[in-house]
Amino acid sequence: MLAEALNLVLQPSVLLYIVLGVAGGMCIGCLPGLTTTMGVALVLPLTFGMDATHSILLLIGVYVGAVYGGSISAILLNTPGTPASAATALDGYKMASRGEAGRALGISTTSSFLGGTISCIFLILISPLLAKFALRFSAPEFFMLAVFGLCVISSISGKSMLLGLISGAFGILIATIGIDDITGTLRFTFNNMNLFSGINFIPVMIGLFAMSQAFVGVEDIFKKTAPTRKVTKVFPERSDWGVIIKNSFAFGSLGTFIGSIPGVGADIASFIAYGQAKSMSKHPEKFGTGLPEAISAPEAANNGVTGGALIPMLTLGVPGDAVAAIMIGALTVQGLQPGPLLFQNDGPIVYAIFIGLLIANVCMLVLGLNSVRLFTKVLSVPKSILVPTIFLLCFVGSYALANNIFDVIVMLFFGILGYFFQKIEMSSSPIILGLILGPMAESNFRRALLMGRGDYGTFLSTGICWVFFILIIVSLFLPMLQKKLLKSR
Amino acid sequence: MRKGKLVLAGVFITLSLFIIAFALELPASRKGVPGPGTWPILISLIMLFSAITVAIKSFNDKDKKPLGIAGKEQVRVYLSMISLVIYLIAMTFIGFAVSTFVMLYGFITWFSSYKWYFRVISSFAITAVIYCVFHYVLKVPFRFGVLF
Repeated sequence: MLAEALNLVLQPSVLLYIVLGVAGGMCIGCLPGLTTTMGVALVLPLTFGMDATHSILLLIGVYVGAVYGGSISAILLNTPGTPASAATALDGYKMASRGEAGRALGISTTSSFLGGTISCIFLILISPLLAKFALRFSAPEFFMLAVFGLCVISSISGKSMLLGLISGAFGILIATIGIDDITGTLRFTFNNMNLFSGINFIPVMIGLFAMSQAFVGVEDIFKKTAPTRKVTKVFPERSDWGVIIKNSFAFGSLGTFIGSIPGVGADIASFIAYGQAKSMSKHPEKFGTGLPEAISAPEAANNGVTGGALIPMLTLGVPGDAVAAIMIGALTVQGLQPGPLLFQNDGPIVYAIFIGLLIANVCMLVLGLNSVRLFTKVLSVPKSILVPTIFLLCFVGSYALANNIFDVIVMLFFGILGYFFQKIEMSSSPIILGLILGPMAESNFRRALLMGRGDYGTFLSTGICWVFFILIIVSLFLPMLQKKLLKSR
Repeated sequence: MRKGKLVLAGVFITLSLFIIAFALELPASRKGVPGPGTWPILISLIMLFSAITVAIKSFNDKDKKPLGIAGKEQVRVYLSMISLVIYLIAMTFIGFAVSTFVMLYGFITWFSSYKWYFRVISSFAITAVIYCVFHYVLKVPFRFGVLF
């Protein structure tokens, strides 16, 4: 299996795609306003004509590069390229202001590399075991798992759990459009041929994450960005290595754990890591003045999320974050179904993903240490050119999926909707998760009842179901309890 | 923000009621096994309950944070949205390359103060690159419209 996977990854074209993906991701990441999810969503249409290995490894490259790339503008401009780098800006920019921009970038690059590598090791160790365990799941367990995923996402994403629930339910309802798998009945199609096969979630994703973000970009199109600082040498100082290694192991692991929880992304992980590093520090009062540990901790954590998010995606078919949801889309386009059976049926691809992730992290380190000056040039790309180009890529990308103008209309609709959702502080991620997990939940809900002859007790018939049931209750009520506790304090 | 949340709740209450009404017309459950309408009804009920709660909470809320949808910047966004709808319609009638060039030229002119020849060259270059990558490399056919 490993030999087959190595054979798949070590082709020159695959390696080139990983390098291009990481470089492209770094460019996307370092541009303020372009998020990691947007970058991966925009690159996705380019992968439609590729085979599974090239496609998924290109996207992984973009993912790894973009999560790291956000720190470049965070350190040099005090403007995080992606939300995941907001915590890095707090101390990174202060260090750069002292004339140590190269040192700050060096700390962020090495910490990102170590955090990403640790998450990859966890992915390799945990995923096969979890997938093996998940093979015991039948319809009731899969239903409970899907419900758990939806509850966690709804309760964690955004500022309000209720808005998250509405958003998630909306996603599930969109997924019900089309021909019903079990009875063949048409649902909510209104005799529109385009709706017979349902709404594909890729144009929805491009709309919600790329188009809506481009609309936000139009709002501040005339805002001038600060000039970038000059970077001479990108490398941490000898005294920084102890901090980097210590933090990378601790917060890379923390990032992996956070990333594996559905709905929690790199932005949350980096702030938790920053807070933890501060509370563990001997001099917390100096945080915010340009400390190496305050740069290292969030960077190790946000890159730790990359591997963590892939754990539930590959083993259970439940995306860890929005980027993992797009990767599910990429795998589905290739005819692969993420979940426990992926390890059995397409083992070499799974191991190719593991190896590709490791290689992507090495590429990120090499490019980060040697070519950061080149990437800072990307910061000078004018928004007036960038935003219309993103509009165009969104149009062409959604059209390319099935050569159907209807997909472009869907993308534009969800782009406009996503913009208004942002205005009302309603997270768009639950819609996508609802779209992905909705069909999984519904089909297993009905299959379980069919097997149990209509007995609803089937959903609590096994120990695994009970574990999920308890987790669902905890995920729904924990945020409420936390809020009440905070208020009482 | 309060008004916005009330509008949002209203939209989703209407949507959930609409879905419930449609789902009730779908074939019913048989021998305890749910029919095609059961799942949408269940989810719509969750959405309805959540939207009603949001409406009640927002009604009592004294949050005066502005929604930020009526400023000069937002009007620019709405105009962009309208322009893109026009572009979509134009693309199907005129053709991909010509309408894309016009769309890009229009946006770049609006968003920047570059010299006319820079705007023409950049619009042409972006259109050409995207067309070549998708049409020739990825084999995406752009066969619509009377022009190119």
